[in-house]
Amino acid sequence: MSLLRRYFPRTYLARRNLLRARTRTVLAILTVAIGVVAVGGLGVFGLAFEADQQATLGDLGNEVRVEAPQQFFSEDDAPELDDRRLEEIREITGDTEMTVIRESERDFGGGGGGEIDIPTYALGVTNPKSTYTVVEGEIPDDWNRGALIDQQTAQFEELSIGDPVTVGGRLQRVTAIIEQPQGFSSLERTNGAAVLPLDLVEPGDQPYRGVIIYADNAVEADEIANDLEAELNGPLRQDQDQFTIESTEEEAETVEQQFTSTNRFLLAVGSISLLIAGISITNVQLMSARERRTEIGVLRAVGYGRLDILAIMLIEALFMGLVAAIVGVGLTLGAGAVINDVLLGDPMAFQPDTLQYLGGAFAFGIAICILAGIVPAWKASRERPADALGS
Amino acid sequence: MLITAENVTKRFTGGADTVQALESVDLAIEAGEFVTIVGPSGSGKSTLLNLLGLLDTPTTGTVTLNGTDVESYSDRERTSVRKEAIGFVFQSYGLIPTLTALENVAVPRMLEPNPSATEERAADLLAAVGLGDRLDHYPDELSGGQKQRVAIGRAMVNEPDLILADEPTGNLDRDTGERVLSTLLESTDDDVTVVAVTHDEYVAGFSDRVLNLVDGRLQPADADAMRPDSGGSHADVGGMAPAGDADSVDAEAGGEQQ
Repeated sequence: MSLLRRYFPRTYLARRNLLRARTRTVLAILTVAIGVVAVGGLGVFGLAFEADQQATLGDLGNEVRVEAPQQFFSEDDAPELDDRRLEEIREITGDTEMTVIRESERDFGGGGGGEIDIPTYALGVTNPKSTYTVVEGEIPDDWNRGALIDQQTAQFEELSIGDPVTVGGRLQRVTAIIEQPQGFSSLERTNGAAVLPLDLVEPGDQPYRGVIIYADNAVEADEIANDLEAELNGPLRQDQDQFTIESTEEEAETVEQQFTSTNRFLLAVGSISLLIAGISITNVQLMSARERRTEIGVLRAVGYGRLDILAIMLIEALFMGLVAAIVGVGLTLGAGAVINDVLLGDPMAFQPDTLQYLGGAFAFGIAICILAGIVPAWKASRERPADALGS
Repeated sequence: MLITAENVTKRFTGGADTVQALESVDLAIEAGEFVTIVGPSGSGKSTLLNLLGLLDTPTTGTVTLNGTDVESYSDRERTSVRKEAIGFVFQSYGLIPTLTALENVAVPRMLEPNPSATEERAADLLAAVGLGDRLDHYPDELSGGQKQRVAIGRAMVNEPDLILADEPTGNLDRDTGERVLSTLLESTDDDVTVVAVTHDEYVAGFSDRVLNLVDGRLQPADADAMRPDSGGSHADVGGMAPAGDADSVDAEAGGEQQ
């Protein structure tokens, strides 16, 4: 005698019933498994997509940008980002890594004949390695001479590493070619400028154009931004131009919210497919109960109670849900590996929340099957045995 | 008296129509009796058997089992009494196709503790009805007569006081039918009461007593009324014979090998 029959006779009967209409059972399980894959797979896809996008956007939430008002557009008494204020910023940021940026005067007519010489101006920076991505050449650790040129400028002017360029009347050699920075702020944008060590650049309108602070995390960035706001803009008059102090936490939050919304939408789509799968389970169980009506009548006649019939049919639904959930989670892992490979370049790069989505899809698959099985089981168990036998 | 029916009437209402299936039926059956209720199709035989088997309740009148009015039982109690005291044999056998012969016999006790003892008893019963070598056969591997003997085994597994047989020979040829009836008759030696309803007159030959049911009324035994073609005016209502099992009559004149 099998252990199932000895210790779980209702489960034994349920299993035998499911095996009777094998094709129908397999198809119903497959429908639910696809629903589980839809929920789990879309969840995993959402996570991989989010990881991919965040890798592209970088540590968006950790940066604080301080930008001096552009005096070109300002009133006479626009505040300056001078050494005193830079010192105040340093006091607030402490050891936090930061890049100071200075902009030179623009020189549009140096070459004569109406042509514009590019680079037209210089950006003096400290700590260029944190701010710019080098595509060719190298920025030495003790960088104190040589220019960094963005790709577009290098291409336009046909410049390569070691070529001489004249910036602000001084001859420099191209040390590295960098990517034109992308992002929300234009502070470090090169736009045809050559990037030089800070000390080599004579200040233009402002002693310093701005500062980029790289905090350890978004919370710290937010705190620094608040402190700087109070320190730099606090003492200024209402009608004066203000320093622009930008913590990108807000943008990061917006992006995060978009990911969350996208994930919810994907999950909702997946859930609909699982609901449809649930309907197929209801249909299968209703058909099964109808076909077995006489049998159920016989069982009732020989002493099976309503609860026994209810339990047997619910176990059938649970059994289908369990198998479907296991198959579905297996398929989801396979699909997740493919998604990870495509988006993140590594099949095993499952995100930390993956387990949560897989667990959710597993539980949802089983829950849907049980819910879908309740009505047929209830109907079968409520029928009077005399009616069932007379069918 | 094991079971009695007193002034029992059963009416079925469907839409505007009311069908009077049984009318003022009085009946008293003693323990160990083999009673055959003969009547044409639609005469109310199955309805009477449903009432005696606690599968239904009368519209008016009283049915008692071992002195207790069955209407005093709740649904759960009726189920329990059916399991403890009544065995059923159906015209179309009512076997579960996914279970073996042994499991089919054990089905009424399958949810009870001590499954090994049940299995032992089921094997003994199958051996007693000549199916000791068919324990692991599924219903579709058995002939009609073998299926009905499995059904008799199932009816007896709970050591019931009463076996109710609805057309037990209806799907069987004469020889096989007689063998099935002999098996039922043997059970009365153990003080088991058998009530069989049929329209086959030869069943009467195995009975202690024959009752005629015509148009829902019990009448004294009468040769004409016992004939299967004597006709009945009622529509067949509330039958006990499972119609789902589409087994037709098995021609099995000799051995019952599949």
